[in-house]
Amino acid sequence: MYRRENNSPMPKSILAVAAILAILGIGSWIYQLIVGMQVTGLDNNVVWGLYIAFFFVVIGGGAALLAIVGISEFKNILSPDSKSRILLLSITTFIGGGILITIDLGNPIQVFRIATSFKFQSLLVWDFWLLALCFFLALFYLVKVRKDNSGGKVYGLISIAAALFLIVAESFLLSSMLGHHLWESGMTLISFLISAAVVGSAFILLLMPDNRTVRNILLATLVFSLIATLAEVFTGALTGNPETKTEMMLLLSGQGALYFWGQVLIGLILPLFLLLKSYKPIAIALLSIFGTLMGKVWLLALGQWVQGSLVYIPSLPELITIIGTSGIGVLLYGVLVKAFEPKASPKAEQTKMSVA
Amino acid sequence: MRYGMILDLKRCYGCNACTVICKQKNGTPKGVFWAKVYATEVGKYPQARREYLPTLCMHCANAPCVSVCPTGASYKREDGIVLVDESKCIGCRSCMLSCPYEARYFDFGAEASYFPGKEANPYEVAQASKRKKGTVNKCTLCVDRIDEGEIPACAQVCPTQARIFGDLESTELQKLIISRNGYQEKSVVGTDPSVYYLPR
Repeated sequence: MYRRENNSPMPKSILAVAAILAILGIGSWIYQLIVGMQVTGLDNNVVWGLYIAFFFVVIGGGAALLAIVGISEFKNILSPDSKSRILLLSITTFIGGGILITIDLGNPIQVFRIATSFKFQSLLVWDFWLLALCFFLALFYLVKVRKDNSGGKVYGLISIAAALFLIVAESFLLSSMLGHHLWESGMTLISFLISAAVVGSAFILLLMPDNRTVRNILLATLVFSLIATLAEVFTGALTGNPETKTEMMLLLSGQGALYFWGQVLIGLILPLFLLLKSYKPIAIALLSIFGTLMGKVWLLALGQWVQGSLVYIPSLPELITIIGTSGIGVLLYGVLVKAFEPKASPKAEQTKMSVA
Repeated sequence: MRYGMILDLKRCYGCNACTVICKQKNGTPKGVFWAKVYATEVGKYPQARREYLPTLCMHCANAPCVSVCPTGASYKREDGIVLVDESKCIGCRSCMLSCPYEARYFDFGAEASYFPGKEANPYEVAQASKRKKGTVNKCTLCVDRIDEGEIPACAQVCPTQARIFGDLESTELQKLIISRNGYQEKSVVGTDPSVYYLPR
């Protein structure tokens, strides 16, 4: 049985706020383009920062959305309208990820160069093409769902596989970097899969705040994420090699503590508490996404940390650009929802009636 | 043919002539050192001493920076020298992350002048014009000098001849490496660096 879903267009007030944030973000990006990457908190030690962390969060979430729609072909958990909305959000996240990479590269033409190099020896090229594949899959899936109310089992299976490959490629991208022992363990893949599931279910909760299944899935993924995060950090701090131990102590009580405790307390325990005690779906979803972002920031910052240097702190232009990108994402989703308004096809109507 | 360098730790006494000549020749921005010397203190007083570790890009045979590069900007010449084609570099910085020797630098768009508040001199302006903001740079093993039959500037300027440049496949250098138990830094990562260290 389908539950009540938030299929109404996005309120204008939210779109207005998103537009202001988007303008601020674009302004900050232009400033970065003119002055150079020196306006970021990055340096020659820490070369991947907030933009890449947010990219991992957003793309992981988008891939999870695509996978969930794929799963719904085997288990009847989503209505056609919900599938459309989720696919639209998935498409938005993939476009958002593309924007983030463009910002990180500092020049839009650079993305074109990745697309035309076809150097599949590089995992970055794999990541690019898997992202493109997931984007087009989501797009065609959307067209199919709007036409036939369903993508079919084969399409569902392909979508699940593509989404999984994308998340795996991103975790391998980090793991394959030599000399960064924090990223070399299998925990990187596990944490990428769990965080994708957290963000994906948080995204769906934003669309379907009253859906009990989504609520339970988010609850489960948050618990898994909490266990995995604490296990990784405390294992490293208590039994790891001296290098790992130093890094984990930095996370627990040093310069990285803000990120770690931010993730654990604000991004994991607080949403768990809210899920169990006083249900506030929007806050829960946003806190879960924030927590995942904090987790990715410390993973990147600590993985690149070198003895004697300060732990990476994002600069103000970086923060504004990230908030602006989120604004662009909200606007884009609003536009896409408007453009792909669920049409009342005879088949869809029939399904709605049978459900009622 | 495999160009490389042998660094004799017995001879290096940390004068940093290599560091300075490299900066002078290549005009690298502030904080960027393609050639550098790490100094550490070993032992306890009265047996304490300073030890020096000169470094540069290792021009690895299995260069991870070359394989991770998505556009082929990082490439390896037939003579073993690893270079960056700045016209192809997109500034993704994955080569920097993959380098276990921290030998690569990103051009964040630093000012031409080395000293804050002072205008760049003509030499600094000329050097800065060669740099491309938003790309990665590294030691070229003075490829321009090698192509003209010279040796890298750091090897030429070293007063104790601690930096020995040449073809690592030559009998002379092979013998030197074997006789002095030469080793490669972080050999465990399997990049097969073209820089060998001769222990003290």
